[in-house]
Amino acid sequence: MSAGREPCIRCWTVARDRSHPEWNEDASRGELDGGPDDWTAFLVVADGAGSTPFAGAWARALVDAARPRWATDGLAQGVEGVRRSFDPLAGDGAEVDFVLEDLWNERGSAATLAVAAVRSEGRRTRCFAQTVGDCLLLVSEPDRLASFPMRASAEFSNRTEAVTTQRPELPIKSASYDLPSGSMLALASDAIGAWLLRVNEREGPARVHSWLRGASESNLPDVDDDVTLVVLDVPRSRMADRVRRWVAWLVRRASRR
Amino acid sequence: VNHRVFISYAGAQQTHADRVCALLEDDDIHCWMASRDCAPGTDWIDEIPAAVEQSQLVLVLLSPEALISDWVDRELNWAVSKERPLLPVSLGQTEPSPRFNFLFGRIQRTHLRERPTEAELRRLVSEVRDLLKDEGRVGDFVSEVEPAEAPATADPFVHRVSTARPAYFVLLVDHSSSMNRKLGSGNVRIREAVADVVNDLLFTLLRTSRRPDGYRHYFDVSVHGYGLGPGGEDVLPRLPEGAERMAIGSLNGSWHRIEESKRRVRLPEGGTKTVPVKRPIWVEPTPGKGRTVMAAAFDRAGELVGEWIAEHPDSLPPVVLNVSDGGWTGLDPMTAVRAVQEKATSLGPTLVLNCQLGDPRSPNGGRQLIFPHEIPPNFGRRTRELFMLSSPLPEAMREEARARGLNVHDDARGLVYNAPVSRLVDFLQVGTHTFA
Repeated sequence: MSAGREPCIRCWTVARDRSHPEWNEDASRGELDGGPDDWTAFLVVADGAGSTPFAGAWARALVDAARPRWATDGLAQGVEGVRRSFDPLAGDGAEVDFVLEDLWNERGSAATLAVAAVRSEGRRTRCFAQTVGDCLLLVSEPDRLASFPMRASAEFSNRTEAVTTQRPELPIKSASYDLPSGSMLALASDAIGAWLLRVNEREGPARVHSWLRGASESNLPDVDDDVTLVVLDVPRSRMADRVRRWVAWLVRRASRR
Repeated sequence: VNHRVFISYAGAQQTHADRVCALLEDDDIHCWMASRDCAPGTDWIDEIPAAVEQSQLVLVLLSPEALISDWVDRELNWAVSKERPLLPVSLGQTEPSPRFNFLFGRIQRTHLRERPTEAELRRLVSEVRDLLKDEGRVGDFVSEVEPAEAPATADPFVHRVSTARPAYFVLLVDHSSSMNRKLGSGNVRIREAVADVVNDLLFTLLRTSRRPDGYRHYFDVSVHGYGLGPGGEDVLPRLPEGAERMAIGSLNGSWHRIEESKRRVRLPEGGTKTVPVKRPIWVEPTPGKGRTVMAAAFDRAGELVGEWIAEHPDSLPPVVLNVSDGGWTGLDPMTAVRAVQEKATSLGPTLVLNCQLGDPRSPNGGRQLIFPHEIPPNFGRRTRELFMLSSPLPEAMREEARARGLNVHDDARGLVYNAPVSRLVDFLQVGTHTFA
């Protein structure tokens, strides 16, 4: 699959135990509006922390409530609203056993979160992002890979900051990128994010780029974790193609001399 | 008679070690073997290193079990650090691990068949005899490497616990008569404190497996008490209905009773509130009456672990946790512990941990020890023995312990003294942990 003339969002989420999709504690969403020249996109991934109860429900609540403003300055306020209304024990009136209640009282729920809002206006496509924890943002081009907030696979561990139901403070990290014509923006949960950075470290950005280009549910790697990936294909602009062809022509001509 | 050869081997190769030893001694070359020469009541903590140091040659029988044996590793390390000549003997197709290869350096290995013939063993004996005669040549068998730089063994606990790859906890609980003593000047008896340790650990495992839709089969558990039964020498199951082993979810609802108390919890918006806390009791603090047959308990643990590994060959290695006041009667448990530690899944060997509950009136004042790398001088011999019987704490567990604020040295061992062990469950990779 090569980049087209229109933006496109592709999403996958697969449970660690593929025979139990209901055990997946990740959540994601991707929205696209407008096009083909002026368009906006919104991507969000949340990864529930398995060591806390109701992690999947918490991740889904965050993703459902997420808005493009969360990618710039509205994250703390938005999360606070979700936190106040989140009550997994209220449920369907069923009796909650004390083991679960005890766990909830002690730990609350936790999830890592990444949100990205993209706006394309003519020749420039800008992305604003905010993350809490180790969900990864990638900007992939054939010869370059940018990642945030981790830059290397070794930075991932089994311990991360998170959005929790118990703690209002959010250790937010912010970034903004220009997305080049034909590039891809991806949000990934931690295990596949680490895997993609390992591929980059071993085989280079071209390999990551081609893998993201052809990604499908059937070729998601088994990384002993829930896997969630949301990819935005930034369309090729006619102007950018024209410049690329012109540069290529100049290079060919220079090499003939 | 002073020995000349120290034989280092895994318990699974006891027969081979015995044959080699007998043939060498027929030739007047006296040997030292831990299973034979650590006499009951002797202090093998000092004896083994001394025996290595005094030997003219350390003969290492290399087998798959030896490669994962903490004891062979320790003996080999000691031999290298004391510059004792080494004769590595590979049995069958055994290839030394990178760690052992490093420690041997350029020393030549001798090979024997997995079941060596008498002729092969005699050739080995004559090689040993020639080597001991030739002082010039024996120098070639001294490793020149620095043992501290040897690569670490692979850490199985970096792998995550999952329903496809569950973990197994075997808890051994001391029920001997000494457990009836009071813990210090308070009203709590040691057996009550031990029951608390066991129930806390079981509850932590149960909570860790709890999901909104039920219990995930992340753990199997066994709880066996020793010093029970009419003769006071039996090792008996202590789980509900006398179960030898239970999947963790089966513990839900199978408790004897529930203790209730209250606890203050912090509220997200500030302040605190009091919430009821329920604590299930599966194991009651049964009055002790028997002898501390720790060796028999570890023998039983070895059987349980062996059966479980046969069913879960690729799972995380089992964890055997012995909860006692230290010390034992009858057989020294060292050989039984070595045998347990040599039982391995494809990921690594069984981990043996010890939790000792000591008297606050002792010279150490009941001070806590959590995964120490050495035993401070004011702790007794019992604690030092349990320290040596405890496996080295794997790196992944050390990292988790450090992340939780514990000061854990690289050489830490799985011993806890007068401290809760339920936090151990947090050291396993069950799900992503978050900074509190």
